[in-house]
Amino acid sequence: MKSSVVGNFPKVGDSHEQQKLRRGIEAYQQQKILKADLQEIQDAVTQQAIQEQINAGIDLITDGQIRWDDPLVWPARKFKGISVNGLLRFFDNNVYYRQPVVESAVGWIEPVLVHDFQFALRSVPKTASLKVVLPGPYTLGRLSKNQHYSKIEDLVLDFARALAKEAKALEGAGAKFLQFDEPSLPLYPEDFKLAAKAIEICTTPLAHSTIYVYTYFSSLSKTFDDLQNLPIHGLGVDLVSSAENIQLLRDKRSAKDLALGLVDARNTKMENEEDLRNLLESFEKNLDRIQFLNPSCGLEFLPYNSAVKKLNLIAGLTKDLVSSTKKG
Amino acid sequence: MNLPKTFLTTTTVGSFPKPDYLKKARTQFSKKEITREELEKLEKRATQEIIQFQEKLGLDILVDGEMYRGDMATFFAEHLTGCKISGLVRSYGNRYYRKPVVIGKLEWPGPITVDWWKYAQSLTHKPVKGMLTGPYTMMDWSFNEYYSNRRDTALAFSEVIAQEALALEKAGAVCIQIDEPAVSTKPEELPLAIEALSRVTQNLKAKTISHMCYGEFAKLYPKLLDLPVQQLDLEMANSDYDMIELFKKFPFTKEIGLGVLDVHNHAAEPKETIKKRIQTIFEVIPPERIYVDPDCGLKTRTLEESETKLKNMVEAVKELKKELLTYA
Ligand SMILES: [Zn+2]
Repeated sequence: MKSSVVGNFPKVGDSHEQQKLRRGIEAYQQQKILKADLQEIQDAVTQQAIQEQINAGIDLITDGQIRWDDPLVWPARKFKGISVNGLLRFFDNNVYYRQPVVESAVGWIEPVLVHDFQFALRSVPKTASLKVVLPGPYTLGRLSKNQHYSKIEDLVLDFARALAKEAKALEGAGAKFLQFDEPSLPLYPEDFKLAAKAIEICTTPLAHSTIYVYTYFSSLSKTFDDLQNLPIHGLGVDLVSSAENIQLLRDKRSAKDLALGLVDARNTKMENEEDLRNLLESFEKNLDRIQFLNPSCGLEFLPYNSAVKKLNLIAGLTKDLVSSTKKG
Repeated sequence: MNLPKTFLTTTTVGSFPKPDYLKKARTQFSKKEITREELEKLEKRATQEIIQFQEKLGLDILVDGEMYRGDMATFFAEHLTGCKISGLVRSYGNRYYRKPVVIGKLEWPGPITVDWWKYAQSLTHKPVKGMLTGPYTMMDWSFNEYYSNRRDTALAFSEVIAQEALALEKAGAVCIQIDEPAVSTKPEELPLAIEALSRVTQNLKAKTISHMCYGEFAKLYPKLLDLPVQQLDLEMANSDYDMIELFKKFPFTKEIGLGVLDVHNHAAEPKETIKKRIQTIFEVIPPERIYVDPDCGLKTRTLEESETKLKNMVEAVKELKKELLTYA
């Protein structure tokens, strides 16, 4: 069992130093600094986000998605056929994203995240590994404004083809662990076949990566069985946002490996470690399936200091569990 | 058509951009470089200016402009017993805010907005709206480290907000807006939002309004009409008036605050566009039940942008009124 995160990490904190990215973006928007200057700040803040995960002892980390101006949909902005429109609420959060607008056929032009991945990889010590997070094709389709395709099916499948090329490029650059985020998938169980077909397109060109699909913010009660048939290695399950997901893992054995969203990444209240252990023990049918423990979703919903505390909690809990298993 | 005395009343949603001198003073105050009295003097000056600004534009119902407020949830939380304020979290793009953290039993410490309302009302003969954040939204936008569930938290907020609303009414407010933008995020919790808001509005004689924005109202409609207020103020320009088809199916039985200006767009929409937007609604709601305003608060626009946008809006309404009277 290893500790991990789901995706993003706070870009700013409360100290002056921790707000340099905020100042940098403002200065760049006012044309007071150059793009290269802003990139330098983004690099430094990315290294900081990586360092926080390493310091906490997280095993499988991300680059914190420091460059992502919008949650989840950001990489799609670099696809052909996409422009950006007004703000929309990001699921049920008091957080907004600029909605991608599909103006013409969606296509992949060039690597979007490969540079970020390579940069991050240089900052990761041997004791940890790095995963890359991509938006899932179905969720991208759902969160976009479709002004081109007559059917959402065609849009989702074109997103999938573009993401497949991106995933392949990332694997070529050395990525070993790829994650597709599909928070929209459980919300539209009637579209499961489409989502599955799209995910299959994304994963087909991948030769040796470990592939996870993460769902968060909602219940998997209507999609859990179908999710078992996806051509992936593991499933990320949010145990905080839906009590039904807890019951599911008590009742059913998962055919896929599991990454469990155990601590609430949307509330500052700190969980009790003993409660978390008891919760984990209740998943008798799936104990050998649990590969990762992580927060319920990205940590950017939390203030910086709370995010660090949650990292410490997850990493500490995982280490304690691993060492007690070894002893036992 | 028989037109009543008042129809197509113009107003705004609540916030206006803060002048540079006030922004500077707020920063200085947060660094303890100036006193609360010094800050308040500038907040009053800005309030006076924004009241004049609205009178000059010819708006019918005014707001105090929220010069003394930061975020709409955080402002109240700063004054409530049982609340503290979090570190920075991201809202969207490069915008950050602080969230309330409920750390103890919530209690009303006495009037929070009443003096400000009295001050603003003393500057004009036009009615000034009382402005509150609704209990459901306060709950949804806060971190909660004290109450055991969302319902208890929302109802605890309604107790304190009800007291504030009564105090505003006692002071003479004839129109009280209680914003519930979070309502659109979790359709399954609409009954809770209704229950919590009814505890605030049940004893009020003033006209009650609730503003909401940037969500999928379609999923809530027509149940949304059960919110215990006389007027629903909806963001419509940003979402291309896609609610109208639903209004045809299920009549909109309340007054509508019709958002006709996209507040996230720098460009002012031409008078003709605004007229068309309002005319579209005539199909489903009669003019006497239409209040015309921007999609949301204008605090993210500049004062110049706000002026041009609102000028066009007031002009559009003037022309429409004339046309309606001519053809009546
Ligand atoms: Zn709004």
